[in-house]
Amino acid sequence: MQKDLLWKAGLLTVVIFAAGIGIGMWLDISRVGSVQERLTDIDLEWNDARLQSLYYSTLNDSASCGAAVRANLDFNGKIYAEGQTIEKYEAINRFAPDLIQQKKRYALLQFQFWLNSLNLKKSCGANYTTFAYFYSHYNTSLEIDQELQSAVLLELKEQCGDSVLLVPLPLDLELTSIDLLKDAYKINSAPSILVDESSVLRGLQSLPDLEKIAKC
Amino acid sequence: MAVEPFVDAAYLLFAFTSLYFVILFFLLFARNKRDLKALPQLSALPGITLIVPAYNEEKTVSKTLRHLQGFDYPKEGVEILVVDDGSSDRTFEVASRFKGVTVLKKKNGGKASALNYGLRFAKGELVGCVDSDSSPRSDALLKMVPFFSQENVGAVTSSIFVSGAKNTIERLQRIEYIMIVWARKLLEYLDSVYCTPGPLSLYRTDVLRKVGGFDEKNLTEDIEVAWKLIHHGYKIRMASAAEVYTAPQETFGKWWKQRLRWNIGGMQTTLKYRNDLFRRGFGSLGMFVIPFFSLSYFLSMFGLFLFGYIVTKWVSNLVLFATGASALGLNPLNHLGMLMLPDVFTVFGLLILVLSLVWVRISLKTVGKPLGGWRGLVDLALYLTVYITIFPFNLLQSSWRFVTGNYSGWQGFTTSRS
Repeated sequence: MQKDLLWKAGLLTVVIFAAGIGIGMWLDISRVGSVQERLTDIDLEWNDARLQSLYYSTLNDSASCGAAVRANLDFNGKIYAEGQTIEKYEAINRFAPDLIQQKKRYALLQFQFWLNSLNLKKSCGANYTTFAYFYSHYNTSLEIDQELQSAVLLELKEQCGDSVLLVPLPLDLELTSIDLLKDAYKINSAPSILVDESSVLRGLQSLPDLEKIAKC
Repeated sequence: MAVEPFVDAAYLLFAFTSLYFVILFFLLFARNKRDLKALPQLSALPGITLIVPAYNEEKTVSKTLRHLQGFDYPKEGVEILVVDDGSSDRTFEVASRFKGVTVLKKKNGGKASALNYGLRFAKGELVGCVDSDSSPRSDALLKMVPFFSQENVGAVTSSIFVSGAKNTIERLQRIEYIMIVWARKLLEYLDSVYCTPGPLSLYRTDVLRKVGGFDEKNLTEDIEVAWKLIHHGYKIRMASAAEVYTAPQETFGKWWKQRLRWNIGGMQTTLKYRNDLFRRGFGSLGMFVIPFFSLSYFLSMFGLFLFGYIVTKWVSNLVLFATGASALGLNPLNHLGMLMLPDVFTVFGLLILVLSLVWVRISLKTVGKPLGGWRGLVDLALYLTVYITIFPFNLLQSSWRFVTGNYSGWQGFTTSRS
């Protein structure tokens, strides 16, 4: 009886399995690292865009409003794409630590971006519709609804381009600034959409309905 | 409570165990590939009694007897006993027409009972059990007998292939039998041939009598007797060069019922020898055969539930997403990619799938039974996807019947076939 093969197979399995787990961990960790790096880059870009807005509003340089609005819109495109990347990485992450810190940083950037958009609307009369999309990070039962709402908003952004600003904000990451916003508009469930800081749409919203609101 | 961590852990456990067995079989192949069909030196030609249990086999028994009489073996060294197990057709008359064939008649009691009855009259040093629908190659005995040159060999089995596969279920059984032949030969190197199948197996007559013959209460007497031999310290060898052809189950219903019987018989046997588990005194039985056998059942069922959960969740998410997207005015096809993200678990699954495909390829090539043509490829694809997937469902029903005892009276429903 070739008993030795029993333990040799075991050993080989452990090695291959450990290698597989190791590769998985390495992939997950490198993805987290990549998100961190990209968030750092976005942080810098965000500060640049925010300082531009501050500059224009401080100097009351209405002639440069177009550039400020443009920078803000460009930043929106980047940060929204980054959010999707984080979501994708999170969905396939098995071994690396949670991406919760990255998500919090991302959410705070979005919140700052949302505030900046409001300032530009006031100071420069920027003409876009802002959709602040509230979703739940922890409630897995909402997974499909949120996937759908996210897809609808993405489609809307693709159709409407610069006339729409998308700001995804997590409801339940315990960030005080976002909690203030939630309380102000009595937003307690996901998915919900705050449109132009005035009305709140609760539950799933269809593309045609949002198109009417966006007027694009 | 979130289910995902448990599903992840279960998946990893399943992947690890499956990987272990795939690797073990690859190692067995790598080490022994040169002597898979090798025969020991033939030192003697002992007398052989071939017992053919027959129940309502008037249409097939003649063909089998012609094959048995055509063996390349000294005629005086072969005794053929047909045991008519209470047939209601003309089996007795048809078998009695053959010269040199002794036909015994008894009350119906099942295949094991017929074999035991024949064993009482056997005069040969070796006794062979031959299903009444099997067609051994003429050189089969000459290729099996040399393995008895080792004193502690209690039984020798043959390579059983499907003959005349026409419809899909028959062709799928053809592939399955090739895979079984292949796995059984490799298991021989672990002294773990756990079945001496009915189409053709040889036993030392005195050993078979000593261990009490076949268990008449067991639905798979060929599995039980193999375990009994190992339990008593005997080795079982597999003569891969000895080819036997058998008729496959021709309908899905018959196939399903046969597998229920095989599974329940396997469970009866496992229960019977449960005390041997992890006990070194019983050869490879406790240390490998029982764990391997039980684990293969467990993995099959576990895999069914695990993949059932994963696939159901994936499909239901896909359907919910697609219907939801349509209702919300989206084209679902533009967004389905969001639900199809590969992860490291996908890599593990693919690794096992690729290894399994390589494994099947090596098996077919080494056994020398290529499937041939596009139809063969379609059959192989069906085998790897549909056929294998059906097994756990059969196992589920078998387990239920076994637990509830809903299989009494099955010993007699096919007395002469595996």
